[in-house]
Amino acid sequence: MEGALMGGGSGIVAEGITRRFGNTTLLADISLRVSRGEVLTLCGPSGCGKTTLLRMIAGFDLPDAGIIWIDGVEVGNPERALYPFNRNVSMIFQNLALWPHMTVREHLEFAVSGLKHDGRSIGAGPDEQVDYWLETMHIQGLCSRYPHELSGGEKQRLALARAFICRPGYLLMDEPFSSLDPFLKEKMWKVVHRIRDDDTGILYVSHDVNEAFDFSDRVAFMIRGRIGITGYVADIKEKYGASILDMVYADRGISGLSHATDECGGDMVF
Amino acid sequence: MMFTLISGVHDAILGSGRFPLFEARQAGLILNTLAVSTGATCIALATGVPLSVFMDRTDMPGRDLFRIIYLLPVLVPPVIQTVSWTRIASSLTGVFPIDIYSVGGCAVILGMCYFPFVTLMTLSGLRSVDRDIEEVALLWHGGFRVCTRITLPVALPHIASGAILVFMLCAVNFTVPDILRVRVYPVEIFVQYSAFYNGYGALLQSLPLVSLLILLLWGMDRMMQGRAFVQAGMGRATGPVYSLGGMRWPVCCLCASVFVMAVVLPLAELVRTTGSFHVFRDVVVHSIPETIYTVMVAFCGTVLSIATALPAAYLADRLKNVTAAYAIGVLNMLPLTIPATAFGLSLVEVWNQSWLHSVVCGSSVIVILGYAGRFLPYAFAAMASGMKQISPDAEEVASLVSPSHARIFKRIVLPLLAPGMFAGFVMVFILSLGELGTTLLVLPPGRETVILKIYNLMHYGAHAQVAALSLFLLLIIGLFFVFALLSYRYIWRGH
Repeated sequence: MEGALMGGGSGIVAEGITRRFGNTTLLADISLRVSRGEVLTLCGPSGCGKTTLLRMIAGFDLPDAGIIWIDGVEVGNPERALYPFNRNVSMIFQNLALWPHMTVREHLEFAVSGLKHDGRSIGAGPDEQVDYWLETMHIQGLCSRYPHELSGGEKQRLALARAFICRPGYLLMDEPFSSLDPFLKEKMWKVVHRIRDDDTGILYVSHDVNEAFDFSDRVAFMIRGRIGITGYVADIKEKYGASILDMVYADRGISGLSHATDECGGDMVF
Repeated sequence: MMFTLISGVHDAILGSGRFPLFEARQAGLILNTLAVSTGATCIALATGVPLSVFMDRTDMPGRDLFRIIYLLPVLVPPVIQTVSWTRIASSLTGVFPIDIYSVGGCAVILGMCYFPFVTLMTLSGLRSVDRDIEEVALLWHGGFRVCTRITLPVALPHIASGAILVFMLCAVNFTVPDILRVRVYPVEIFVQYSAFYNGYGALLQSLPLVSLLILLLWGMDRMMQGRAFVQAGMGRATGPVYSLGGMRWPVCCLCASVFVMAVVLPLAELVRTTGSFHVFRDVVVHSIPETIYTVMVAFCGTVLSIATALPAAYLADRLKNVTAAYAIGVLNMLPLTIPATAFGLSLVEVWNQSWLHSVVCGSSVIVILGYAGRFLPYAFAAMASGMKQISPDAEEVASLVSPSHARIFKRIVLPLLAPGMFAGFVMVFILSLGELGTTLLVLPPGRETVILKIYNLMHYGAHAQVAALSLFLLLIIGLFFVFALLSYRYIWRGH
């Protein structure tokens, strides 16, 4: 846990976040900070609440206790939540969540038409921005294709382009690369690092400790709904070594949590 | 039916020397049929789609209640809906210049009868939209834009299929246009047969309509591309919920007014016309044989329909031969394209030429066959949707421990398919209780169903008795529906 955090200043700050589903506490008093220009990987076994935390930061769910700030603005508490499109965040889902009825170009046009983020655009109009990202992600030749006509890697690149085109201050990534081969995964991470270097804060969710160590700046380990260990990759490696795997995954105690999530999830009104 | 139609072409041309398809009044029939069906479909879409979006994707007050009652208009048979609205219209004649005996009146009543099918299909479409693709769009846009640009376009195949289904149901409906004296194909078929005893000519006349509806059925199949018509777990919203803000209560009132129009007003008018409880009691006492007969033939027809649809739905989903599976699916949906009167007439013609005519014709067997055949698509659709939600893996893994396919079917497939079978049974039984178009032509002498008694009494101008009998039939349907709903919740509680 990162101790007592203050909501002021830049970065995503979550403080004392608790989320219950029925009698089960999925997230218990979680606090963390994601700064601009860093990749923080939230690592933990399946069902420990990583995705739930990400959804609360994005604005799709409310905490039962705790507050979330983004760049000093209180965006979520148990009573109210700022609309997702006003939070200066973008998100890539595990299943990529591409729109089946839109072409590649229409995906980017639709995203850019709702542009409300902090304006770190490339200084061009919507069409130029769409062209820029199509070219950057090497999908300019696929403009008129639909998602079902794309390969796995092309879909990943489209999802990344759609997330980046608004130049969000923060990017939330829910294991989008889990199904990729190591070669493609490394290529995608290079793109993510380029975005990070452009002063974007990235919160990445994964259950793969090696991926977290290889590509992140900092790592936070979640165990049974709490953040157990947080720190820079080098520090954690030095302090815990290979024993970190046992510490995180041997003490699971989380069976049935994902089931409870499916059954008891409440409606969030947008 | 198809055999009868084809042989009818030959006989009609050689026998009478004329071909009714080329007669001048065909244009009027086509125009009327299309106008009624298109109008009713537009009304059903304008009512059904917003209703499902409000129920499923907004914070409208009472949406849980609406999710239970939205099917209620289907429980009111079109005959009863028409009886009520003709009475309401006649009492409003001095106040509003309404001509209910018109194409427009016909379209409005049919639209009110069938909009729940659009609602059901739209709900199914909304439930099939992946929550993530809506939420990711919420990162850039508000709820209204996400709903119109993402949610509804993705659910479009279901919505369009719902519209096609309503169009087909309206095009084959006999009772509403007949009572409102609008000349459409199903009415013309009945007139040709009953007034001129020109059976083949009547069947021939339905050819253009049947061809059009087969085309639409094909279109519906193409759009759905193997998707389930109805999703499991329809009780709870699965997507994001958008705030209506200050419009919450006005929208709720708007939705409630739809049910007032489609259910409450017609019921109130029936109660008013009945006048007293004595009339109701007398009518009920004098209709016991008809009621028992109606329930008996409807039950047998429903059982036969389910028994036919069960193996068909299984084979259509599991056959490795894609063409054969497709053919089974099409054959089971084909009755949707046949006008109710043409269906009855074909049954009479086909079984009259059969060596079984003494057993089938002139007995209740032909009525049971009529109900089973006419409503086979509903039973098939309910079970085919259920089959799509049973993974073939469930059977394959069972085959590792049991060599008997029959045992696997009984222990694995049937229990998983049971909710779909149950839903199909309820739907077919309720529709059978209110069936008139086919019943009118196939009913054996000396027999009468409740709905036919209502139709006959109506022609004698016995308004109070018609209203009382309609209320009685609605009571039977309502009680059965509540019983079915409670049974479903009890049997599959926690599933």
